[in-house]
Amino acid sequence: MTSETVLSIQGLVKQFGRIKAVDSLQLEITSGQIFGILGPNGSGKTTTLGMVLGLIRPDRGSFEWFGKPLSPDVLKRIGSILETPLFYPYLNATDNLKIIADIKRTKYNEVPELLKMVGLFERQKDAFKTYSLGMKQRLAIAAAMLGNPEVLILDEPTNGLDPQGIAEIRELILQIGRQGKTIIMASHLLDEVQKICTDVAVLQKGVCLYSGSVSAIMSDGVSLEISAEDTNQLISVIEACEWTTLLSQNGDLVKVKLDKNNSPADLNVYLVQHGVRINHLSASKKSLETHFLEILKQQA
Amino acid sequence: MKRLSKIAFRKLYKSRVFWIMLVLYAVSMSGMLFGVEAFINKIASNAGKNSPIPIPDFSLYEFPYIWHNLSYLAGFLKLFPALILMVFVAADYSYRTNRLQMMMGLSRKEYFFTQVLLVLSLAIFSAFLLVFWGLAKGLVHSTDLSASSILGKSYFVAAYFLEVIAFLSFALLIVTVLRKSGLSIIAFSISFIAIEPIVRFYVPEAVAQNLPFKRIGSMIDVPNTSLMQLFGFNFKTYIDLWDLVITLVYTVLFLGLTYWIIKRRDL
Repeated sequence: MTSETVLSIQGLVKQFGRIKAVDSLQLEITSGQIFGILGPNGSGKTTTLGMVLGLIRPDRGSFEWFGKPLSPDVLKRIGSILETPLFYPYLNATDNLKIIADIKRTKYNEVPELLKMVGLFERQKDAFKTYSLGMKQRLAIAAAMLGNPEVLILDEPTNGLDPQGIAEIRELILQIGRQGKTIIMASHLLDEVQKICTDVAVLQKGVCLYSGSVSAIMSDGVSLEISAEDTNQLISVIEACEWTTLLSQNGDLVKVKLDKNNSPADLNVYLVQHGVRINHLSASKKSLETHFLEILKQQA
Repeated sequence: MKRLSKIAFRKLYKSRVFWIMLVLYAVSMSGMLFGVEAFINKIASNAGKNSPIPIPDFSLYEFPYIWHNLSYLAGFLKLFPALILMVFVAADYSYRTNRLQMMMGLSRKEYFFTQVLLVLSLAIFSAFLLVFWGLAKGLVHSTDLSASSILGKSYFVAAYFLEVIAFLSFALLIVTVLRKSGLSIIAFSISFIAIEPIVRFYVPEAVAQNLPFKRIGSMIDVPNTSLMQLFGFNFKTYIDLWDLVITLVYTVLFLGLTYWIIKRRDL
C-alpha cells in the first residue's frame, strides 16, 4: 500500500487571550496510520483538531487535507468526534443520523448498517437523551462513519466511560482501523495511545515535543525495574554506568533506562561484575509512559 | 435547497415544543382575527350608551379594507414567531449541534441559509393565517365580491409578510449574538418594548422615525375605520414606498450582520 499524506500542518498558531493554545505546530499524517495526539488536558489537542476541521480560525499557519485546502467536499472525506457527543436530545438515533446523512449527501440506507455496527440497532427508535454515555459515544462514532470517510478523527473517545464502555470503544476503533482507514486520535491516556496507535505526537502547552512512530519510541532503549539487596549500592553503580539512566526510585524498586545498544542481559552482567546482587529485574510495561514523562521532563 | 430544508426541518417537525408553540400561535392569531370585530363593537356599544353622539357599529371585515385591518392586527402578534425562531436557533448553540453539523461538512453559508429558511417559513405561515382568515371573514361579511374588491388592498398582506421577515431578521441577529434562548428573548423583548421607545424620545425626530422597530411597525398604519374618523384621526391608508425601502434595508442589514458573525465565529 502506498502511503500518501493525509494531513499536513505547517506552523499552526492559535492564541486565546494571553494563552497560546497552539504554538507553531508542525505535523504530517500519512494514510493508514493510527495517529495519536498525546498530551495533558489543556495542551492544545482539541484546539488543533478544531482548527483542522474549520471550527476554529487559526491565527497563523496553514494546513492541507489530501494536499488541498479545507472545503465541505474535503470534510465529507473525514468523519469526526470532538469531545462530547452532540445530538438533538429529543430525536432518536435514526433521525439524528439522517440529518448528518443529509449534510454529507449520503443515502439513508447506511444508517441501519452503522447502527448495527455500533450495537444501537435495537435502540434506534429511542430518544438520544435516554442513552447512556457509552451509547451516546457509539452513536457519535456511527455519525462519523456515515459516508464511508477515509479519515476518522477521535477526540478523547473513551473520556468518562466505564471500563466496559472503554473496551467496547477501543475494539470498535481497532475494527475500523483494520478497514484501512486513517485514524487521528487525541488522548491524554498513554495506555490508550500505546494500545491503539501506530504513531504519536506529544503536545504540551501547544508545542509539539515529539513526533514519531510508537514502535520507535518503544525500541528507543528499554526501561527496566530492578531491585537489589543493597539499594544504595545498586543506585551508585547504575549512576556510574555510561549507558544507563536512572529514571526513578520507589522504595526498593529502581527504574532504569538503557540506551539502544544494550540489552537487559548486558545490564545483568554489568551489575554482577560490580558485585550487585539483584533479586528482581523486569522490563517496564508502561514504557510509553516513561518516555512521555521523560519527554516532558526534558522540556521542563 | 431540498437538502437544506430537510436539514432545517427534521429537527423541528419531531419536536413537541415546536408544534405546541406553533399551535398556540395559530390559535391566538385565529382568535384575534376571528373575534376582533365583535370585541370592538361591544366596547363601542358600551361607550355609546354614555356618548352624546351615537357610535355606529362598523365592520372590519369588508373587502378590500379587511386586508389593511387584519394585517395591522396580525402585526401585534409577530413577537410569537420571533420567540419560536429564537428558541430553536438557540437550541443549536446549546446542544452544540451546529458544531457537529459544520464538522460533518455543512458550510457556514449553508448553516446561515437553514436559518433564513426558518425565518421565511415562519413568515409564510403567518401570512397564510392572515390570508385564510381574511378570505373566510371577507367572503362571509362583504357584499361586493368582485375580484377587484377582494384583491384590492391585498398588497397589505405582502407588506405584512415583509414586516414579519424584517422583525424575525432582527430576532435572528440577537440570538446569533447572544446564543442563549432566555437571554435572547429578554434582550429582544426589552429592545422592542422599552429600549427603542426610550431612545426615540431622546434622539431628533428624523432619527427616531427611522429606528428599526418604528419603521417596521409603521409600514402598516392604524386603519382608518369609521371609529377613528369619528375621533378625527387620519392615518395612512396605503403602503409608503419609503417605509418599504427602509424596512428592506434593515432586513438586509440584520441578515448580513448575522451571516458575518456566523462566518467569523469560532465554534
